[in-house]
Amino acid sequence: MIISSLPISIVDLAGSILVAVLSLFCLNITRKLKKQKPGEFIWEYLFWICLTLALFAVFRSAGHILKHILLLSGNELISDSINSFTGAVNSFMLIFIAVVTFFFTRVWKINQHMLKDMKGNNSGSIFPVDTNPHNESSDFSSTISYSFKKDTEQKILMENQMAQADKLASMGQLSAGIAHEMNNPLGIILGYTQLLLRDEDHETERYKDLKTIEKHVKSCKSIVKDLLSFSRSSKQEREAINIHEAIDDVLNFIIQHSDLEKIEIIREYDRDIQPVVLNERKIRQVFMNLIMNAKHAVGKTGTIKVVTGLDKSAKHIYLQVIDTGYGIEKKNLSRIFDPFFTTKPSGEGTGLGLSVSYGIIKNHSGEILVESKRGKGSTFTVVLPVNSRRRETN
Amino acid sequence: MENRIYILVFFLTSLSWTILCPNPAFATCDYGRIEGVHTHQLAHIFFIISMGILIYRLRSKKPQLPSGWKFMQYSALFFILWSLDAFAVHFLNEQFNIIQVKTIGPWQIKINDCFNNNLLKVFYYLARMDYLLFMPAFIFLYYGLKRLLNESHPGFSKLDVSDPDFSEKDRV
Repeated sequence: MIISSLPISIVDLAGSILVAVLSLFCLNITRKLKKQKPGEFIWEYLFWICLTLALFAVFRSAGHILKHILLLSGNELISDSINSFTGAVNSFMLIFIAVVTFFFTRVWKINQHMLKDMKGNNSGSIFPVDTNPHNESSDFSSTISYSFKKDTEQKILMENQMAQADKLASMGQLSAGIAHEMNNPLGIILGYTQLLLRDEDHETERYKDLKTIEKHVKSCKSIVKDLLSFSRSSKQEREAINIHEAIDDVLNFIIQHSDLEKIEIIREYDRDIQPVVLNERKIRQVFMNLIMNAKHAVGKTGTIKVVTGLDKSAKHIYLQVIDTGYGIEKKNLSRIFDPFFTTKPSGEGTGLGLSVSYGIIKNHSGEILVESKRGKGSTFTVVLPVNSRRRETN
Repeated sequence: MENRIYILVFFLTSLSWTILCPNPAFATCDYGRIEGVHTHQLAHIFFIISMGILIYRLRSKKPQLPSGWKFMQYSALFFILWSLDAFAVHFLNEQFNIIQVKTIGPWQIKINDCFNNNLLKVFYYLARMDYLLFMPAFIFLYYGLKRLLNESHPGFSKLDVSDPDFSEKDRV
């Protein structure tokens, strides 16, 4: 069969040029993708694939164009030897692309397993980690490094938690001892001071001195009381309370007694929450501490958001106090529950608010979580079990 | 001592004879020119399988992937078709010499085949224009990558662990 070779030559020449150009464009895009997210496995893969395809396309195209030129000029022998060389290079490139693709698909599969495990681990969590499937592909290598990082972080976090729990338990015992020993003498000092005050003329210097003693003894007693709360040595009576009413009472009290004009307070309550068995007085104290801390962090203008909700299994309720304040520095995060730790100026805070709250929540078999982004605010989350025993006494 | 001298003389003589009067060693095998064609054909098969697996993987994650990957699938499909086409051309022409092509003029070729089958000749003639499959593969690859580039702006990525301000959660 004799036939024109022109269509083949045209398709070959035009295709060679177009493919070579397109392959270089593709390479340029993968270079940009790589630059946008350096170190990402998926872009590395695409870059290498496109690099090899570009080399393949350019070699092939150059070979084909050269072949046409050599054939037209009557140099068939040279054309044959070049063909062998480009053929060998093309074979190598094809194998390389195939190997990289196999490797990529294998890693992809491993990634799926890891994501599955991650989701499995998060299924019991109240606040699941974000495993958006979109990230799965676009943050492919991030997911892998995230899993490893998360594992290590969780291990470190757990060790820190145990150390923190140990430290706080020791402090609790120590505080309980000191508080118990100091409570009685303070009571006696206060009693005698008040006895002396009764017989003293209000205008005398002595009366003012005694008043100063009384004020400071009361302040000491307040600290001792807080220490006792922290060390859980005080008796607790529990009853079913409506958590939203308690929060509203605290919020109303703060609004009435503090300057909150420029602070926006947002309430997002889950009305499905049933009354929960809690020590109302203690829980109010926790809310008060958290909201006052949020107010202090926000300053004069900002937002404080109070959110309540039920977790998926409906076994826990959570309360979040979210502020748009200046956040907590990373180095302070592990210390904020330590007794007497405060970032407030001297004289403005005792550093017992969060420690006491911690003690109260632990006593209710709950947890306090803190999430903070420097400059963007903090989120304190109190998690409480729904089925606490009624009238539990410690 | 004498034995050692004999051994040394024997060793040196053998070495000199080996170097000065060499014979062919036949240490490596010569497979002939066709080996390259077979290797190239195996590379095509390997390439087809790898692209097939890539499509399978992408299809299994179809609902969750950015749309750019859809075009990557089409690209892989066209790479498979092109590879099959190229495989067929090599198979007919170079590997088993079923088709013989002779240039008889600047723009004319003569196609002969072992079975004298015109359909086979037409198939070979069309298959020679493999760029008709190779080019769409690159066009889809280009569009796919372009989409991925558009979709990979920071808004699409929520989880960035490299961010130094990545939320720190302290469970107490």
